[in-house]
Amino acid sequence: MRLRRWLPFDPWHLVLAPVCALLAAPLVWMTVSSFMSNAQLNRFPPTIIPGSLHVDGYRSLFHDAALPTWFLNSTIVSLVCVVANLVFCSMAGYAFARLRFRGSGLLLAVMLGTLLIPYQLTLIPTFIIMEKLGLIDTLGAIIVPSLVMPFGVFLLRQFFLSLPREVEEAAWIDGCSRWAILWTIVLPLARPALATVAVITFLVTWNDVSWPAIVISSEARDTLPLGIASFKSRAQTNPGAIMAADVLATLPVLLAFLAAQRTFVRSIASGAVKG
Amino acid sequence: MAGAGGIRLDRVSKTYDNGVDAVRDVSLDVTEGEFVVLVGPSGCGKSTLLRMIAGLEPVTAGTVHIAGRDVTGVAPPDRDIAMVFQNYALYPHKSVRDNLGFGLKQRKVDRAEIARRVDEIGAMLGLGDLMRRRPSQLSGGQRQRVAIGRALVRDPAAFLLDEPLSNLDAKLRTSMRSELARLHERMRVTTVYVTHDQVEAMTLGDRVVVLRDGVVQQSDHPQVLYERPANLFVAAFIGSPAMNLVDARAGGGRVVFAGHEIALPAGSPLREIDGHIVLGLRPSALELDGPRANREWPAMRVTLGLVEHLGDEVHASFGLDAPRVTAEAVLAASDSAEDGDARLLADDERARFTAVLRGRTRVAAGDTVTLRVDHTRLHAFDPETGRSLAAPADEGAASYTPSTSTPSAASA
Repeated sequence: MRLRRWLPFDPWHLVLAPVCALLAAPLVWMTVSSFMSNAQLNRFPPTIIPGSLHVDGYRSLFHDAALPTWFLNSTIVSLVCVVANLVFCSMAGYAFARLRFRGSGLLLAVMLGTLLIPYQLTLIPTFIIMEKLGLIDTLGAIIVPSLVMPFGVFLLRQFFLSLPREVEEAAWIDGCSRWAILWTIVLPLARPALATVAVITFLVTWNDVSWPAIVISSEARDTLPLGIASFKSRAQTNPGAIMAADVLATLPVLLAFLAAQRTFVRSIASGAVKG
Repeated sequence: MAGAGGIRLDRVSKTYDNGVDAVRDVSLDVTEGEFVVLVGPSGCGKSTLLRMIAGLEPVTAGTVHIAGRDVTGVAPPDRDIAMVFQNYALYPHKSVRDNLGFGLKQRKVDRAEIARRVDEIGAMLGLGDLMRRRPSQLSGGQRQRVAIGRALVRDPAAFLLDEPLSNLDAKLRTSMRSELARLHERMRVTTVYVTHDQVEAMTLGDRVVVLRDGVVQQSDHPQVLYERPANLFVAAFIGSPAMNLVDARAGGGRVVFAGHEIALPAGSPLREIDGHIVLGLRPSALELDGPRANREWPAMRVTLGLVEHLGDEVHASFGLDAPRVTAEAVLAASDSAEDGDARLLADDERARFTAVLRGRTRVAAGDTVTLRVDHTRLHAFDPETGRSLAAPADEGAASYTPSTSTPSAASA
């Protein structure tokens, strides 16, 4: 508290600012290097501040690669997953929070237990299921396993538990069915938690590279991370294009986060208080 | 039998999954237009009982009838009831207008009709200027009015109110209390009202039902509860300040307690008792000795401990040379009674009496005074069962014919 008198800002900023810089550094470096030529990028020691700016990376990206296709594929996958998670996670979360049915505790435990199983262990069984569904090498193989995420169910359940029960009871007495209560009362109140689920789902599905790499083989179905990864394996590595593609791939994520930031932060904060 | 718009509970019980009996074998008839108050300390089952009437809580045994229809297995929306919750339970994301109209909209009432009824109720409750606001932009009293308006607008067969005033500050609570009484006077809708505040219970209820541990202790007109409590629990719970209680011995036309002796008047029902009793005496049955005091009343000489001047009256309390009555019923009642007599100092194990002295009496703490005891207003309770053995002869009480009076089952 005494420090506060001497500094024009909160002393915590002395700790937070360097951490912030550390976290921002890769993003800044990525953006800067996307405007460098391959010659500047291959130099040693590396160029920190380029003498001139180039857009070669972006040009080759739009001319030589199927960027629009990758973008479209990624957008389809992420949007479908976000919408599906919002619908299914809120329904499941509400059931776990409010409905009394036999075995609900066990089901919840099993569902949460799946969070403890390493992703690698479920790769082969999931692949077999996708194959039996005939979805291999389609976007469906990426979408279906991510339609409902246990974390989203859990997060929404916790949020629903924190809502006053009486509001729902009042709606019940006012003549609402369970469905109507969920859609007209609970979900509008759960906007911060829904935003959190949406952002997390978007991040996870947009950035995922390993699962799409396993189930997608044709280039026309590549998602953005797959397409970017394919740059490296091509005969000639094009670091400028990779950096440019990374910037473009990160933009939607940043925009999604900025758009949902206020509600997102609020839900994390309320979660911290209400458990 | 409950009338067309009445509520009838027939031997309803509620046992929770964890084995706790919240409500035990309660029967209650609320006639159409009657205002019944369920009162008792926290955890006595009064809210559970109300929720069972609403259908929010399924009954374990027994039946619930509303407006002559068996609704035991009927879901809340189909019971034609409206409920006001303790924390108002307004829809935070809807405007006042939408909050009021929500129930009608769910019931597919015509839009113009909704607007008409919402405006009518809004005008009646003085909400006209607030219609566009959200609940978070309203004060506590305004929220309360919206919650009540939301119940009124549906014109239901019965109102259920669950401690609707307990979140308001003391002054607002008092004014809302009389507003509620006026509202009921005007609307005459069957009402069941839950509170832990016995002042609310006494002032609002046509009839008051005292509950303890899920069992009805007494159900009667408030004045009857006050004058003829069925047992120690009701005696200690109803009345502010609470009834003075002390272990005593009756016999030979006298009652002896803590070194004091009170001669019983002819015709006193206590004369027929011989043995240990818990003696009960309302604070208003004590009077400061003086020229205007009734000379026929026996006298007690006491040293006053605490003296509170409240303007028109003085509350003077004093210790007695006897242990406090520690019957479970009395402790349960005083735990919750909001009359400020919860003990602050743990070392005082003596029984304490409070006298409500009329007028501007000049007494102070430490004074030794003579008090006259109205020996026609003595209560006697069985020290084992807590049941009332003798109460003052009827004055006004008999004129309120009790419609349902359930004697205490067990209150030792």
